[in-house]
Amino acid sequence: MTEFRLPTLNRVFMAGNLTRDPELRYTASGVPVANFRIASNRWFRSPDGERREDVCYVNIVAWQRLAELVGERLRKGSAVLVEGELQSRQWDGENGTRRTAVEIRAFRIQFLNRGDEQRADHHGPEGLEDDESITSVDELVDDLPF
Amino acid sequence: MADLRLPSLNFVQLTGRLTRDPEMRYTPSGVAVATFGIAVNRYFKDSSGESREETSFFNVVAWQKLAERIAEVLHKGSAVLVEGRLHSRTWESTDKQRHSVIEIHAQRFQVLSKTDDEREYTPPPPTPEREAFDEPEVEEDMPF
Repeated sequence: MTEFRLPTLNRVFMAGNLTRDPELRYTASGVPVANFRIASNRWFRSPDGERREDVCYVNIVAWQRLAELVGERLRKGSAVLVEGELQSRQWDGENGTRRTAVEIRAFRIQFLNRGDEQRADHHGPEGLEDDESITSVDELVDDLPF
Repeated sequence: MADLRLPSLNFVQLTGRLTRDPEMRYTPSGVAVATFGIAVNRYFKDSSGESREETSFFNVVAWQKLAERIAEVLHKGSAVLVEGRLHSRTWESTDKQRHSVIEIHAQRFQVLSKTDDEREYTPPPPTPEREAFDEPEVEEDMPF
């Protein structure tokens, strides 16, 4: 009988708008990290036929060059398509409770506001793919210090 | 050229193992809800080239037929592929702090452990109304 191992599969695709300006900071060793939050809307019909909206808020973290591009080009309200993986972090909150946060670690972010393409030309960031609205750090993913 | 709209896209797909048996409940209107925890491993090399493993933990929620099938075939330790979307909700703790929780709303799953599910499955007893189901807006709407 053939034996398999459990595949490592973890992919998230999410489109939405930034709920606030991204925060760009640097780790002690100088690695750029950007944090932001997006709101993603979904419309559906309730059983009684009414049109309803559901908003999902998710925190996104981007590293390295992708983080810098996020800091340069995204603002509150910017539209993005984020591709990444889901991760959880745990820490001890006050009064000793164990807290968990779930966030998306972005590999690739598409900037969906039209004005952004022109802005990218001015900044001339290296490492962009042919489509300059697409940014990828796939090759860096294995080296991230966390 | 305002001829495009932002896509409504919210998709997650991952594999992992159940950290506990699925919990089955029924909403007051009789809709089946299953919840379970899943542990997902990530393997990577750190900055010094050392192979490392990190585990993330997520909560998964499923409704209706899917919930019933999950309760039937999955249990603690089962390997599973889950597909669905992210759902966020906020709640207030007793000390009036607001917390935000993200969970995966499953739309589809595959059991990846083959032996134990077919061999030794006993249906868990239903646990209706064990505690108030904490997502009233969804139980009313059933967005599927």
